[in-house]
Amino acid sequence: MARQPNALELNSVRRMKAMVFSIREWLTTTHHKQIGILYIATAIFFMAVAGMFGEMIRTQLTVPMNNFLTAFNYEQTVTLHGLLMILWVLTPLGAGIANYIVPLQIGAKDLAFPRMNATSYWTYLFSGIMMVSTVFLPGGGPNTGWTLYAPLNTIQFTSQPGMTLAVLALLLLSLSITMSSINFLTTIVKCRASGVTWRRLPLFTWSIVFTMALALFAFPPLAAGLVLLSSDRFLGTVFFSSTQGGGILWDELFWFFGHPEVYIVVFPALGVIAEVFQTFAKKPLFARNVFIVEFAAVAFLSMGVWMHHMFTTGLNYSLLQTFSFTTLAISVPFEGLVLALVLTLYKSHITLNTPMLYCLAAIFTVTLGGITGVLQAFPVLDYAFNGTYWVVGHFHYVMAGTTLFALLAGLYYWWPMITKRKYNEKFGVIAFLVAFVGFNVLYFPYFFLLAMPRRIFTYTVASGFASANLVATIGAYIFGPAAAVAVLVLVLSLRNPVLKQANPWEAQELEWTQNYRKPPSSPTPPSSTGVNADPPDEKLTGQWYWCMTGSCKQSKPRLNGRKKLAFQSKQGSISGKSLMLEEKGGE
Amino acid sequence: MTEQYEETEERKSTYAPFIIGAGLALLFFGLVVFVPLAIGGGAVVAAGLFMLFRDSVEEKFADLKETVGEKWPVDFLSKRKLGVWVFLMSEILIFGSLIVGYIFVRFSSGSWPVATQVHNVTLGMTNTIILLTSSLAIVFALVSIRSGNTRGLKIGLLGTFALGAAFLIIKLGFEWPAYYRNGFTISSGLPGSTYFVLTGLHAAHVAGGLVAVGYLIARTYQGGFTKDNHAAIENIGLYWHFVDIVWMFLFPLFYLI
Repeated sequence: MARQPNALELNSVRRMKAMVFSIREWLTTTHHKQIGILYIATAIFFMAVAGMFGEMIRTQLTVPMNNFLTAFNYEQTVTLHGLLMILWVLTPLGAGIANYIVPLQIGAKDLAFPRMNATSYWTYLFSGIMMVSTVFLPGGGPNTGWTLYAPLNTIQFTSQPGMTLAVLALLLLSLSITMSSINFLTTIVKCRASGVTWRRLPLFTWSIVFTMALALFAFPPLAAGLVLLSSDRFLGTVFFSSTQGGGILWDELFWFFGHPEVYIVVFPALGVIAEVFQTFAKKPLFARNVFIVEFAAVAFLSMGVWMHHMFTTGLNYSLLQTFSFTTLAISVPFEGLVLALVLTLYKSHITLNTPMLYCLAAIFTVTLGGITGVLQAFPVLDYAFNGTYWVVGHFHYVMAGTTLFALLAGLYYWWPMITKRKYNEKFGVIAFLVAFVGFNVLYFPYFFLLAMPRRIFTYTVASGFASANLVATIGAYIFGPAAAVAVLVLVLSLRNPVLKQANPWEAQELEWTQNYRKPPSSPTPPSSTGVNADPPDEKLTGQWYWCMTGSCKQSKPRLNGRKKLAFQSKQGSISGKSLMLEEKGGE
Repeated sequence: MTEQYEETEERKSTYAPFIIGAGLALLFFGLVVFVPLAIGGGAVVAAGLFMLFRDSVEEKFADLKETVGEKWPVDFLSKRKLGVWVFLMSEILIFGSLIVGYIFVRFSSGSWPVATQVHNVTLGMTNTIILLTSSLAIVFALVSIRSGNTRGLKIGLLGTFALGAAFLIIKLGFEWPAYYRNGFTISSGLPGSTYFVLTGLHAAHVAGGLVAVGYLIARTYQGGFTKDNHAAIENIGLYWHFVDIVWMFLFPLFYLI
C-alpha cells in the first residue's frame, strides 16, 4: 500500500535540502533526527579511522618478522583500533540510529531533553577527536591495549601525555553516554504516544531500553575507574601503582563496565535484526513476549559475569565456579533471542534484499562468535585460550560481525525513511557478499591460531603462524574496502530521485506507518450513534503487535505446514534471486 | 484515524551544547598539554552554561505542558524529575564503585591508620551537621514556594547556599591544610589517596550543587518561581539531598571506622 507523500512531506524535503548545507543549522540543532544523522556520520568517520588502524595491524602481521610498524607504533595502533571501534563506532552508531528511530517508534516529538541530546553528541565528537589526536602528541598515544590494564596505565610505565589525554577522552565519552542513557530512558518511559503501551513498544525501542539501562549501570563504574586513574596520573595518588589496589582494582572496575558494554553494543543490533526480520519475513516476531523477557534476562545477568574476564588473575575456586555458572546461564536467554529471530523466518515468505542479507550474516556470525565464546566460560578452557588469537576471533565475530553487519542492515533498512531515497539494491548485495566473504577470510583463520599470543607485534617463521596470518590479511584487504563500498552505496544513493512511497518496504511498524492513536484528550465530536470516535485498541493497525492478534491487514496469509510448502514450490520462489525479482516487480 | 504527526512547529536551536562540548574538550586538552588552555576551556564551558541560563530565563525550551500519552508506571512524575532520578542512579553507581573500591583496597591492605587519629572528627561532625541543615533549608524553600511565600523561598535558598559554602570553606580551608601539615596527603599512600579522592569528588559535587542553587537564587530574584511553577527547586533539591546522603556514607567510612 503505497502512500502518496503529502504537501508537508514534500515541503520538508525541500527544507531538508536547504538545511544540509547550512553549517549553522548543524551546529545549533537540537532535533533528534538531525542529531541522529550527525551521530551516524561521525560514527562512520571514526569507523574509517579505526578501520585504517585495523588494516595497519593486519599489514604488520602479514609475514613473519615484518617491520612495517615498530613495536611501539603497533601497540598504539592496536589500542586505538580497539578503543575507537568499540566506544566511538559501534556504541554511538546504535545510539545514532536510536536517536532517529526511537522517537518515531514511540510517537514522541523529540527526545525528552533535546539540548542534553545535543550535548551528548558534541561531547562524543570532541572526545573522539581527543582520542585520535593522542597519536600526534609528543611521545605518542596510549599503548596499553584497549583494556588499559593497571599498572601499565600508570605514569611509571606510560608517561606520555597522549595516554593521559586518552584517559580524559574516555571520561568525556562516559559523560556523553551517561547523558544519552538518561535521555533515552526518560523519553521511552515518559514520552510515548497514546496507545504505545509497554506491551506494544516496538522491538527496536525495547532493545534500546535495555541498552540504555545497561549503559546507565556500566559507564559510571568506568568513569569511577577513570577518575581514580586520572588522579593517579595528575595528583600522585597510588591506586593502581600500589600492590593493594593495582591490577585487580582496575580489572574489577573496568570489567564491571566491560562486559555489559558487549551487550550495550549487541542489543541495538538484535533490535535491528528483529525489525528487519519482521518486515522482510512479513510476520511478527516469533514468541515476542518471551523475546522481551529474554532481553531483560540477558541485561540482568550481564552485570554478573564480569569476572570471567579475570579467570587467570588468581581468583579463588568458588569465584571461578560462580562466574563460570553465570556465564553459562547468560548463554541460555541469549540463545533464546537468537532462536526467536531464526524461528521468525521459519515457513515465512522472505524478501532477500540487502538489509535482510546483512541480518542473516549477523545471525551466522553471532552463532559462531557465541559458541566460541561460551567455551571460555569453562575456566579450564579459558586458561588455555586466554590471550590468544582464538579470543580475538571470538570477539571479532561478535563485534565486527554481528554488530557491524546488523547496524549496517539498520542503515540500509531505514535509509529510505531518513533520506527518502532508495539505494541501488544490486550494488548493495554485491558489497554485502564481498564484505561477508572478506570477513570470514579475515577472522576464521584466527580460530586456528590457538597458540599465537594476541599482543605480539611480530612472530618468527618457526612459530608456524605465517600461513593463517597471510590468509587473514588477504581477508582484511577484502573486508575493509567492501565495508567502505557498502557505506558508499548508501551515500551515492543521495543522488537518486526522491521516492514516491513513504514506506517502500511495506513495513508494519510505527516509525513507518506513524499510525499512533489519537490522544484521548483531543476533542472528538460524539458521533451520531453515540459511540466514541476513538478507535478501540484492537483496531489500531500499523504495528506488528497487532499482526499477532490477527487484525493486521497487510500480512500475507499464514499458511500452515504442508500447504505452505506446496505454495512455495509451485511459485518456485525459494531462491533468493527470484524473490528479489519479485520484489522489484512489486515496485 | 490515521493522524499524521509531522513537525509543523519551528525547530529550536542553540549553540550552547556545541560550546559546552568544545569547552570541555579544550579544558581536558589543556590539562594535558598546556594548563592556560584549560582555564580558557573552563571559561568556554561557563559561557555555554550561561547561555543555557539565558535560555531558561527566556523560557525558550520550556515545555510546560506534558504531552498526553502512555506514561505507566511513572504517571505521577514530571519528565524532568524522572530525568533527575535516573541521573541520580548513575551518580549512585559512580560513588558506589568508588566506595567499593575504597573498601577493597582497605581490606587488601594489611594495616590502615586508625581513623580517629588521622581525621579531625570534630570538624567532620560539624560539616555533617551543616550539610544536613542545608538539606533542611532547601526543603524549607520548597515548602515556602508551594504556599506562594517568595520571602521564605529566598531565605531557604540563601541559607542552603551559605551552608553549602560553609561546608566547603571548613573542608578546604581548615580541614585539608591541617592534614597536609600532619603529612597525611593525597600522595602519601592509599589511606590519603582514597580519602582525598572520594571526599574531593564529593566536594566537587557540593560545588556543582552551589552553582545550581546559585541559579535558583538568580531565578528567584528575577521572579521566575511562582506557586504553580517551581519544579526546578524540587529537582535541584533532589540532587542536593543526594549529595548530602553521599556524605552520610563517606563520613562514617572515613572518620569513624
